[in-house]
Amino acid sequence: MKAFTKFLLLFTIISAISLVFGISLVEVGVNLSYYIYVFIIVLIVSLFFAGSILEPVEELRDAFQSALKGEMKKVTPKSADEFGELASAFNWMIEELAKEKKLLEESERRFRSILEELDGWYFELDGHHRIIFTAPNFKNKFGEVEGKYLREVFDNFPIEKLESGKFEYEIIKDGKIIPVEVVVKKDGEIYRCLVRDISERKRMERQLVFFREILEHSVDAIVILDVDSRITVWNRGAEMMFGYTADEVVGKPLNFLMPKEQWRQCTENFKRAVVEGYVKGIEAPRIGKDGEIIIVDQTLTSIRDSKGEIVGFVAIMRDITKRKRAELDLKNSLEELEKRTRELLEVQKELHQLASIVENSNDAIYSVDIRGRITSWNRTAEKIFGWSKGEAIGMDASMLLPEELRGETEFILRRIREGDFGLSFETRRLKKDGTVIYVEITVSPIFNEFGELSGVSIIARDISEKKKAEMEAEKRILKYNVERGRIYFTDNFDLAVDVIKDLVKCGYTGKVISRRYPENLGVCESNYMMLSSRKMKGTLDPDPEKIYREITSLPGWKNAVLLDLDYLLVKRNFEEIYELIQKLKDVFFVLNKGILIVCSESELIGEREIDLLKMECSAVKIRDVGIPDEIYDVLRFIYTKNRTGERPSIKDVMTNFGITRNTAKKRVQQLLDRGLIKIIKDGRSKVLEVTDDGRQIMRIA
Amino acid sequence: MRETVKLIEVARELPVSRKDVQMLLLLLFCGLFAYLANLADPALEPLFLALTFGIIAGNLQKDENKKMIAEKYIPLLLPVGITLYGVNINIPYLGEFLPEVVAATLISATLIFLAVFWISTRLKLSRQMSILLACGSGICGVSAIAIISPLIKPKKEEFSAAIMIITAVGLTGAIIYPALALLSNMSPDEFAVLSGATLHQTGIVKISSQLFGIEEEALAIKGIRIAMIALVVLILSILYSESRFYVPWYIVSFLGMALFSSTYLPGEIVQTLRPLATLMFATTLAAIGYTVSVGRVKRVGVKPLIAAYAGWMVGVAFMMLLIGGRVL
Repeated sequence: MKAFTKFLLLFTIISAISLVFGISLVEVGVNLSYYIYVFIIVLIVSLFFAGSILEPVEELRDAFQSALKGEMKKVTPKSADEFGELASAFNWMIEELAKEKKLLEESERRFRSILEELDGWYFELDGHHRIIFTAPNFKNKFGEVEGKYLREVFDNFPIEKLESGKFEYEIIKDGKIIPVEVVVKKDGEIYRCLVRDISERKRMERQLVFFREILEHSVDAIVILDVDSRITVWNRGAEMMFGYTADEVVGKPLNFLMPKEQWRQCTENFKRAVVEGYVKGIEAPRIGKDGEIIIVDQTLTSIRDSKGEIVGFVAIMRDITKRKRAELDLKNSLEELEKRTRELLEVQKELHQLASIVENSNDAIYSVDIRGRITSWNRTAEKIFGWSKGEAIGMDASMLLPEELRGETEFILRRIREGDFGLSFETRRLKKDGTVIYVEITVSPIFNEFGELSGVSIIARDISEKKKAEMEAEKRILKYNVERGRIYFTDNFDLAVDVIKDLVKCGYTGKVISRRYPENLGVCESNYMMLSSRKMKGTLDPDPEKIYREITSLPGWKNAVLLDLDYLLVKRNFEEIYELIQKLKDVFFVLNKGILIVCSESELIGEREIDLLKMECSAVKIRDVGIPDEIYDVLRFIYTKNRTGERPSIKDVMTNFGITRNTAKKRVQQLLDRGLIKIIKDGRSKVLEVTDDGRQIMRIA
Repeated sequence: MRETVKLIEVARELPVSRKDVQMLLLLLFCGLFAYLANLADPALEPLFLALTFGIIAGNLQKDENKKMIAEKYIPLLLPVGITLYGVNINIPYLGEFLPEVVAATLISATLIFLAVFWISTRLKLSRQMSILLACGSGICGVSAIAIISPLIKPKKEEFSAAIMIITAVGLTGAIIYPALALLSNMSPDEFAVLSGATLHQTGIVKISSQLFGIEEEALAIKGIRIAMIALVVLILSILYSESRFYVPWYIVSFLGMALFSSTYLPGEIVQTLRPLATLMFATTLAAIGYTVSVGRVKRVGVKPLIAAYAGWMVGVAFMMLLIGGRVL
C-alpha cells in the first residue's frame, strides 16, 4: 500500500473518530449529510496536506525516476528540514551525475564520431562469434545484423584467424568481391573487429607494380631525384644508357652526368620545373660511364605532395644521339644542296647570260653535231645567213657552204678529232639568197656528259666588207697578181722568192722551205726552213706529211709560203708530192691560210708533171704599173703609210728600204717628177703624201 | 484549458467515432450522477462532484487515448456550458434590499476576494491560482472558477485544486455556520446576510439557511454576489485578452444569457433550462477531471487551502463585526 494511501486512510480514520466525538457534543441533531460534508472536507484537506507532506518525497521520487531515465532534473528544497537536506543532497548527486553523464556523453560522442569517421566497419563479437555491436556505417552497409552469428552475415569468414589479430579476407556482397583487411583485438570474451575495404589499396598495389614494371622495362632513362636533385631511383633504361648501375649513382647529383658547362643550365631547368611544373624538350649532352657523349632529349617534372609541396623530381631522358647525327648530316646535306642549288642557279644565270650573249651577239653563233646537222642558231646567224632559226635547226651545215667548200665541215670535225681545238680561220659562207660572204670563224668542240665529242660550236663574223677592202688594198699594194687562198706554181725560183718578199713587205708572214741556203735567197733565217733529213734546228724532214703539218700549222691566215719541190722530188716520188700539193691547196683554199708558191726548176719532173702542177696551181703574174720596181716600192710604201694616216719622211724611206739618203732622195724625186707624190711641210719637217695620180696607179695595180 | 476556444474550428476537426461516443456517454453519466447528487443534497455542488467523478474515472482507467478524447471535447463543451450556465445567473433588483445589506455584501465579497488574492500571492501561489481562489471565494464558488478559467488559462491541477478547496471551505461553512449562529445568538436576518455574503456555493447557502427558514433571503443576498460574476468576467476578459478589448464570444453569450434569463425569459423556460445547463456544465467538469492526475492535484499543496480559509475567515470576521456592531 502506498504511503499516500496510508496517510489518507490514517487521516480519515482520525478525522472520522474526532467527528463522532465532536458531533456527539452538539446539541442539535446531526444530519447524515453532515457526515458526508465532513468526509469530503477531511478528504480534501487530507489530500492537500498529504500532498504537501509527500510532495517533496514524491518530487524526489520523480526526480530519481527522471534521473534513471536520463533526465537530470533538480528538486527545489522547499523546507529546511530533512526533506530539504535530502533535496539538496539529491541536487548535488544530480550535478555529479550530470557531470558524469556529460563526460560519458562526450566520450560516447567522441567514440561515435570516431566510429562514424572510421575508415572501416567496426563490429564486436561475443565468445560465440555472435555480433553484439555494430557501428553506424556497418549498419548502413550490411543492415541490422546484431544478434546474428558472424558466419550468417559473412560466408566462410575465417573465424579461426580471429586470434591472429590481422588478416585479409574477401567479402562477397551483391555479387561483388570486396577485398578487406580485418584487424581484431580480443578484450576478454569480446572480439573488437575493424574491417577495412582495401580494394583501393589493392588496386594501387597493382598499379604500383605495373608502374614499377614500366619503370624497369622502359628503354628511356627514368631517374627520380629528391628535392636536392640527388638521384634516388635509377631504372634499367638509365643503366643501359649511361653504363652506371643504381648503386653507383644513387645519392649523386644529376649534374654528374653533364659536362661542366651544362651545370648552370641544369640549375635553371630545375628552377623552371619548380615554377612551371615541368620542362620539356631539353636537348643536351650527357657523359656516359665510358666517357662517350650521349645527346639526350630530357623532360624534367617536379613531384608535389597533396599539400602542393615539392618532394622531388623526375627526369626522363631519351637517347637521340643517332637522330642528332642524322639531323646534322641532313643539315649538312641540305646546306650542300643549297650550295649546289645556289651554284646551279648561278650557272643557270650564267647560262642565261651566256645564252643572252650568244643570242644577242654581233657574230653568228651556231652549233653543228657530229652528223653535220645544225643544232643551234642565234639571231645574228639568222641575220647574216638569212635562214630563220626554225629553218636552220636540223638543217645540214653544208647548206651554208659554197660548192667549193662542201668538205669544210668534215674537215673541221676531223681537225677537232685530231685535237686541234683552237681552230680559227677565214672562210666563205653561202647565204640563203645564194650570195657568198667572207666570214671569220672560230670553231670550238662540244662534248657530251661522257666527254665524247658531240659536235662543234662555230662563231662566224661577217668580214666580207673587210675582206673586200683588204683584197682591194692588197691588189693595189702587191707587185704581183696573187690572191690569198691560192697556190701558185713557178719554175723561176728567184721570181718565187721575190713574190714572197713582196708579200712579206705587204704584211704577210713569209716562210721559205727549201734546200737552198737562206743567205743565197736573201731571206732571214726566221722565215726559212731547210729541207733535211737530219734533225736540227731550222730543218724540216722532206716528208710530205711533215711538210703538210708544218705548213698547215702556220698561225694566222696571211702566210706567204715558198715550197721548193726540187729536193722533195729527189727524196720522194711525184705522186706523193702531187698529193701533198692537192692537200695544201684544199687547206689554203678552205682555210684561206695565205699564199703558197711551189717552185721547181729541176728537170726531175717531165712536162706531163709540170702540166699537172700548172693545172692544179695558178701562175704568178707581175703587175705592170709603168714605173720601175724600186720606185714602185717607194710609192707603195708611202701609199701604205698614208692609208693608215701617216705621212712618212725621206728618212722613213731610207730606214724602210735600207738605202742611203741620196738614193732615197732620188727615188722620191722620180715620184715627184711623175706627180705621183707631193712633199708637205709638217712643221719643220717635210713629209710625203701620195697624190691622186699616185693613188690611181695603186688602184690600177 | 490552455487553448483559445474556437468552436467552429474544433467542431470541424472533430471526427466522432464509437470511442468518442463511449467517452462522451461516460462523461455525461458522471455529470448526471453529480446533478442527481445535487438534487439529493443541494450542498453537494454538482460541478465539484462531476469533477471528482471525472478524476476518479480518469485515474482508475488510466487510458491515455480516452484522456485524449476527453481533452478533444473540452474546447467544445466548455464554452457551450458557460453560455448555458448563464440561465443560472439571476440578476437581482437591488432596490429590494436595504442599502446597508447591499453595501455589506459587496464589501464582504470584495474583502474576501482581495484577502484571498493577497494571501495567495504572499504565499507565492501563481497568479492564476490566486485569481481562481479569489473568485471562487468572493463571488460564486465553483461556477465562478469554471467560468473564468478559460480566460486566465490556469493549469488543470490548479483549476481542479481550486474547485476542491472552495468546495471544502464552503462545506466547512455549511457545518460550522449553524453552530456559529446558535452560539452567537444571531437573528435569522443577520444569519441570512452572513451566509449569503460569505458562503461560497448557492447550495451551501441554501442548506445552512434552511435551519432558520431564511433561504430566500439568504439566496437573494447570494444573488448579489453571483451577479458580480458578470463584472468580474468582463474585467478579466479585457485584462487577459490576446488583443485589446477583446471579450470571448462565450463570455458575451453568457452575459447575454444571464441578462436574458433574468429579465425576458419566462420562468418556466428558465426552470427548464437550468438543469440542462447544469448537466452540460457538469459534463464539462467531468471531462476536465478525467484528464487530471490526482498526484499533480495534491502537489498543489496546502497553501491554497490556507489562503482560501484565511481569506474566507477575513470575510466572516468582517461580517461578524458588522453583525456584532448592529450595523445590519
